[in-house]
Amino acid sequence: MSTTATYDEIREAAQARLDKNMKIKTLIIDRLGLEVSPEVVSDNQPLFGRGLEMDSLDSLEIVVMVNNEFGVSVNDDDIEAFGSINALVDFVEAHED
Amino acid sequence: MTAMLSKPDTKTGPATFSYSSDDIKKMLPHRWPMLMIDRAYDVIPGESGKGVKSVSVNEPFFAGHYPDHSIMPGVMIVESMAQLVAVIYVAEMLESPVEQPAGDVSEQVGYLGAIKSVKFNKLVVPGDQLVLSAQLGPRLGGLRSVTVKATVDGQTAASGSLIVTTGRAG
Repeated sequence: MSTTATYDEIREAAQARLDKNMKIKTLIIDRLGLEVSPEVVSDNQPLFGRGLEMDSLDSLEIVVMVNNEFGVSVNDDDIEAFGSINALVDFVEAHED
Repeated sequence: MTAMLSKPDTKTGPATFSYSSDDIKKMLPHRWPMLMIDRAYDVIPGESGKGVKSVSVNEPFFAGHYPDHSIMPGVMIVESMAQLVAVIYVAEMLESPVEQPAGDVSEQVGYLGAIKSVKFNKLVVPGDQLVLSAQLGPRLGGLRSVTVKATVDGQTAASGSLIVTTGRAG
């Protein structure tokens, strides 16, 4: 495998991850009716509290969205998935078929 | 634990249950004028079910909604659908083979947490029979998502999704 090919592969994987983060941000914003643009939501911004200011009702909305869009179940034990956009995407990628 | 209120309907697939209005009064804390479901059937405890609410001209809300134009308030249709959800939820406790703590199961009925994107497609008037259906979805903590629908003569009167609390904490 050439160095260039590896570099391209890494770039491709990084872009795919950015795309997925953006998709999740857009889905969350649409689902919760947030008045914010996905571009201004950072990947490590907390979803609760001073981040996106989500509450427990919103977190269930995200559980439903993740289940519908990715076929991934989120349970009470998976609270780390709500840490940030990155944490949620990590969780989805780890549990997707 | 309250004794099982009804025998399972004999069908293939998961066991389903039917509940009369007398059964429902043992399952829900609601009473007149806020008991908004007359019968439940095809109930798969904790999962889904159907119900009936017959709308009479004697419903107290028609006195003011409106005096010369009787239409059932949309929020009361939502209440009917939410009470079906409560029946499905309580049925899970009643029909469970696992011994439940003693006490009145109707005290376990929770609250509405959110009314999401409910559409009202048809006016509901005295004489209509609402056929309610509910499907319980994912849960997280003490919250559960449900999709609900109400039809009259096969036409959708209201549909959408709700979030309910699975108990009375907070």
